[in-house]
Amino acid sequence: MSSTQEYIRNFCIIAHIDHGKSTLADRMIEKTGSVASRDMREQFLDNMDIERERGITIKLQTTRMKYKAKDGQEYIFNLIDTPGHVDFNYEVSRSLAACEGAILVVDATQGVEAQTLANVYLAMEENLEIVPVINKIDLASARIEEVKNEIEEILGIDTENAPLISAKEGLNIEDVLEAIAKYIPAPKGDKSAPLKALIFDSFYDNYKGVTVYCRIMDGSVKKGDRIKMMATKKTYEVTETGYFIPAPTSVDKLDTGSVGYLTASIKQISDARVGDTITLADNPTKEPLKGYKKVIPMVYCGIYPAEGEKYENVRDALEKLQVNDAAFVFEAETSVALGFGFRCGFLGLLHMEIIQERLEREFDLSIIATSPSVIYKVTKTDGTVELIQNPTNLPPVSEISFIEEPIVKANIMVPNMYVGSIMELCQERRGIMHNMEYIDENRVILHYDMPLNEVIYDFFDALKSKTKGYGSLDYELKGYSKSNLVKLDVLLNKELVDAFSMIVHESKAQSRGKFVCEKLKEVIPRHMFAIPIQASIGTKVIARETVKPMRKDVLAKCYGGDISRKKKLLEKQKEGKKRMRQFGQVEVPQEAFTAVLKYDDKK
Amino acid sequence: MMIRNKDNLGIYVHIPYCQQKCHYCDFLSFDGCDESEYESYALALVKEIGMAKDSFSNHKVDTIFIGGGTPSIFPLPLMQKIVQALYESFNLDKDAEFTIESNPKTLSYDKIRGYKDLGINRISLGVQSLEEKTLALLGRIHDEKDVYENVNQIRRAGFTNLNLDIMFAIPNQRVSSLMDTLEKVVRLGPEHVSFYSLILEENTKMHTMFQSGIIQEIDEDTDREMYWRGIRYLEDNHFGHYEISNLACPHKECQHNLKYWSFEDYLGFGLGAHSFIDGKRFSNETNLNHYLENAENNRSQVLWQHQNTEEDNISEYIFTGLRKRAGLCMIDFENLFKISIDRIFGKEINRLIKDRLLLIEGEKIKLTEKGIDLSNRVMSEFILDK
Repeated sequence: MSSTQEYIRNFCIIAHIDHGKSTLADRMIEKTGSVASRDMREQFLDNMDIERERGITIKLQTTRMKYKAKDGQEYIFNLIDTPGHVDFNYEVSRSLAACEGAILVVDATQGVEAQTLANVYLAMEENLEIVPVINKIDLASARIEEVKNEIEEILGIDTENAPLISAKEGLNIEDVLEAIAKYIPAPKGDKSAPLKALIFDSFYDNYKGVTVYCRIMDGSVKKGDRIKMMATKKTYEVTETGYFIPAPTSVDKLDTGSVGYLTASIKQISDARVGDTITLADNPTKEPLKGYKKVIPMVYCGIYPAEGEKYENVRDALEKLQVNDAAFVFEAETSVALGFGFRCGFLGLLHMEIIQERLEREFDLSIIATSPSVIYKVTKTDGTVELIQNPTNLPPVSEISFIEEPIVKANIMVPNMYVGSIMELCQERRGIMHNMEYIDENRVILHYDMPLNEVIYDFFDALKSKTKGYGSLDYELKGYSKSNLVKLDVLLNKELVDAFSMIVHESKAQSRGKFVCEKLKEVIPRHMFAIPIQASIGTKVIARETVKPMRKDVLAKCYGGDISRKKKLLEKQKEGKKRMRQFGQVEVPQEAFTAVLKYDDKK
Repeated sequence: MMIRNKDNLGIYVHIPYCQQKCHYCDFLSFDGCDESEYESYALALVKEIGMAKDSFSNHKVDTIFIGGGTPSIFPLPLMQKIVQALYESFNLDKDAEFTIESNPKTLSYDKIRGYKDLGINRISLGVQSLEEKTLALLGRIHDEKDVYENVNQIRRAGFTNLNLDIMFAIPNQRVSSLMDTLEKVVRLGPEHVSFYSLILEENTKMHTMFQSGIIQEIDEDTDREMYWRGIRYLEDNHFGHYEISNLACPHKECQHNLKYWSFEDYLGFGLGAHSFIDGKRFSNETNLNHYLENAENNRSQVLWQHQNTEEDNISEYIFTGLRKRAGLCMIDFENLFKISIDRIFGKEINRLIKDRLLLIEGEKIKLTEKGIDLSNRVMSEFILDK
């Protein structure tokens, strides 16, 4: 591969969910002949099932393409795909840092969305050249001019030369390729300087260990080089360098400005952290690249093996997931109610859901996840500060001086007509409004400060439900704030079930307690005795429901000697019992744990 | 595995026709059919019975139960053909219990007399209630007077073993109206009473009425009050409560039904009929046209079969046995399965005893009254994993 730095173009695609990022990427790969179209799967870049189902990209994929432009030159295009969700903001920012430009894909029928805004601002912070592209122009509901105006007004990006395309129909894809060659600058960087490379992603496989995705900023790297990770200080010998075309293809070396991968017998993903700088161990660069930070989980929950599932299986699966996900943390914990399990930390709610789903689908495990929690800062009367992410560990009230909770800056974009009900929702979730911006005559962005613990319960579901799916949300941590928080406990048949405990604001305790009791009453089957369900703060019961005792469970008729029918019924009954968790005398179905978290439309 | 009474056999014959489908009924039965259809079915039955002839030549048949549907809807000559086929194919014990199920208004003195001549010695009459309003709600074709008339005819024909089916927990029924019915039942003086609660089954007229709010289900507390008051009243009037839903005067317990609860062999003929022979359960074709075609082409009617594992046998032995008020004998269990019931279910039994659902009396293990109310819960504890 003998292209000089001058003809390399490193870029990413920014788009809202469903606006056509993956389809456009597929078309570009197809058009430049990197993959024969018969080998293409739908949406080549999204390779995880969950991502496909949700139509969002979480894990990055990178592709190198060759393009012969109208000016007669052959260009090297490195497409660096970015995740599309707020939970993965940091990963997004690091892949942006590997680029000189970004293609902004906007759906001609939808216009600019909150998620797009957040990522465009990130790209602007990295000084990327932004090339707007209007997609889905083939649809009858496309409003090209309006959307162009929107981009200019809200984002201040000139749309005069914006390609108008339909990624789905393969319309005007060439315009996009030309725009990349023409408008996105070539990578800078000093060939003769010591190696300086940015890690923007990595994955693990059993044979090669960790494969590091990197962008060479200065110098070059080849097989046999001894490299050093500047943040973790670890050194390795490079065993392979290569490009993704999009399949990994090894090359002799990676030069300044290029994007590729290297392997170096690295055992864990946490040893090659996203954002870290790679340099040569013997001839290091002076300064690491800016912007590295260790990602910190914001949301925690307990994950326990469900009845009949082995603890070891869950642990093995969590370990496997962690190898490929430096942002995911876990440690062993024990619950009185659920036995041995794990406390797991996630970047956000989506990240949590993805991990839970992968455990169930990819690893075929049956798990119970407890209520998500944020990290509270508890200042005790003796002046010490404890960080609490499991409600069970909250010190007794008498030892607490005050508690602080994380607050996020939330940007909520909604169609005009829903502003009232969303403001009501935010207020109900203890949000403090800063201001409201009109994007156009139809849409508004609401800027709120909100406690993260209100966001993680069911806020997103409520937002979607109240806006018929049109509302979008993005948030970032703002800081901590003192708050009047209490621990809400749930007692079944007078016995505390720690797995249901949660930390809530005092003003919400009553309604939350009532909701939980009502939900549990719905899902807990009747027993031979009455079961009181109580929600309490300390010793004070604030809500109560009762599951009435079962008086009759008998099948009188056995028709014509049909024993098998009766046996099936009894087998079903026994099977149902197996899926129950035993808390003292009370049997609770697994779904109780999710039922108390679900947003209820009727409420 | 050793099966008790290996040489004895019960026979069930299914007649899937009724004059009119009752509002609560989800059984395998058809209404609105004519006599020519009855005849084709009877011929198919005769053929099926004939085909079994050689396989059971060593067995002694000690119970026959012709059930339905409404077997008494068949003209007598058709019933004669069916019974004749049974006599030709099986060795009938001279003391065999021979029952026919019937419904009021489909019986006549001549028909009943004819049954007697055929060797039938027990009649089961579907009374359900002796209250006009309740009978109408159930969609029964008869009234109170029809019952009295048929009972008189049955007695006049010389039957000394009569069962009346009585239902409770019928929507709108009060405890007092049930007790009225039971008083009348006692005055009618049957030897046997089947006493069971109405179950709202899907795809029935009554279920539709329930869904549209026309009728309401009887609440569980009332259901149990009806059950226990009914049982006590009948017990006070010399009926023995020998099985969850059955009571009888001394020595008049239904021998055929007891086979179901005592793990004994029975062979079923007719549409959808079930059999249990030598630890194998099997059942017949349930589609009437297929059933008739099979008969025409001399094909087997068996649609489903399952060879019980030892686990199946143990579970079934216990959950069927517990339906009997006398319970099941732990010594019999051990003789049969070569392992004590305690070894397998000690933990479950102790818990159920502690919860007052089971009790042990001498060698017998049985349901308490509370255990009867929650019998599915108790029985499901004895299902073994496959």
